[in-house]
Amino acid sequence: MNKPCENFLAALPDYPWLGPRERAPLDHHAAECPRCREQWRAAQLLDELFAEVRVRAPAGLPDAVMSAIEPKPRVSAGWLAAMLASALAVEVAVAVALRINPVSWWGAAMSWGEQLGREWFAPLMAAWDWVPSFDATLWGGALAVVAAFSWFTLNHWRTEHA
Amino acid sequence: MNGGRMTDEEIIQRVLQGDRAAYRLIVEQYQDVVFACALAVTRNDADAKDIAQEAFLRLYRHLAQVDPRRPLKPYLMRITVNCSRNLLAVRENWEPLGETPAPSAPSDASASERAAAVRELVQRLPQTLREVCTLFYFAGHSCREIAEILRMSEPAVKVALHRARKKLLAGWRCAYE
Repeated sequence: MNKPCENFLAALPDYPWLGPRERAPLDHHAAECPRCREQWRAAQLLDELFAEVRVRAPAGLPDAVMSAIEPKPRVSAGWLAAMLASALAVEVAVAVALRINPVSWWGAAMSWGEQLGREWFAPLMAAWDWVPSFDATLWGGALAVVAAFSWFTLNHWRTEHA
Repeated sequence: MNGGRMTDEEIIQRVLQGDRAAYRLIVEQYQDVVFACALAVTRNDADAKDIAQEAFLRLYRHLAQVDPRRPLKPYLMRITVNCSRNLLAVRENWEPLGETPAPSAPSDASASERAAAVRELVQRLPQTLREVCTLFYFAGHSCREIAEILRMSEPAVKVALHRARKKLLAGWRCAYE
């Protein structure tokens, strides 16, 4: 391959970016050299083919990016305290409305559970004996209910505001 | 502004000043080329979408480090290529890429069929040629810009582009002429 052909092929990829003055010697060489003209035509054909190709990003990409960069809402300590208080209030209100004595109800349930457990799950009940009193169990249960209620409320709130 | 349209630099300034919503303009402007580039490397629409999203998120996180005097697009394309290559490197360890089926457009194909066939031909190229070809034809970068994006020498880009063209033409002529 001679020097003008080398120069032509080296410049061919940048042809679309060249100005008229830079294109002139290339056009002149292509007119003279059949081999380079063939290369130029091939490049033209590909340019035409690619001009028909449009790759479109899937719909919703901007929304996905924007939602990913939006800061997630954070729960303040005050909001969390308010939710816990309201959860506790709900629990007390339900207990009053149903006229349930939580201690006796819970104690009876625990006694039955304890009896059943001692027969069926002796090893587990060994651990149960460690629990200091039914009062502690009762309050533990109440706290668990409050925590679960708070968690569901919090989760719902975050979903709503995400 | 250029005819009412903000430049990349102006958009970046607005985003950095706290106008997060302005970033959507960047995403909308470059989403097609970023997706095309990711698709060229991964050859998978779902992966390409994930990578496009990841590339825009990375750009957003590093927006303060972008040099406003330089064009944004090559920087974004480099992020896209790196994300795509990372994914491919992980995948290739346990999931070899399948062979892309041969293009099957008839000789009297419509423009859309020809376009699909060209896309398939590009996807059959080796990875480096695919990247060069996509950045050249779909993203409209010059060889010098591609060399910067892919961290190759400019002659190496030209050689890759020449080889890609030869393969594409051979594939096209073999199938449709």
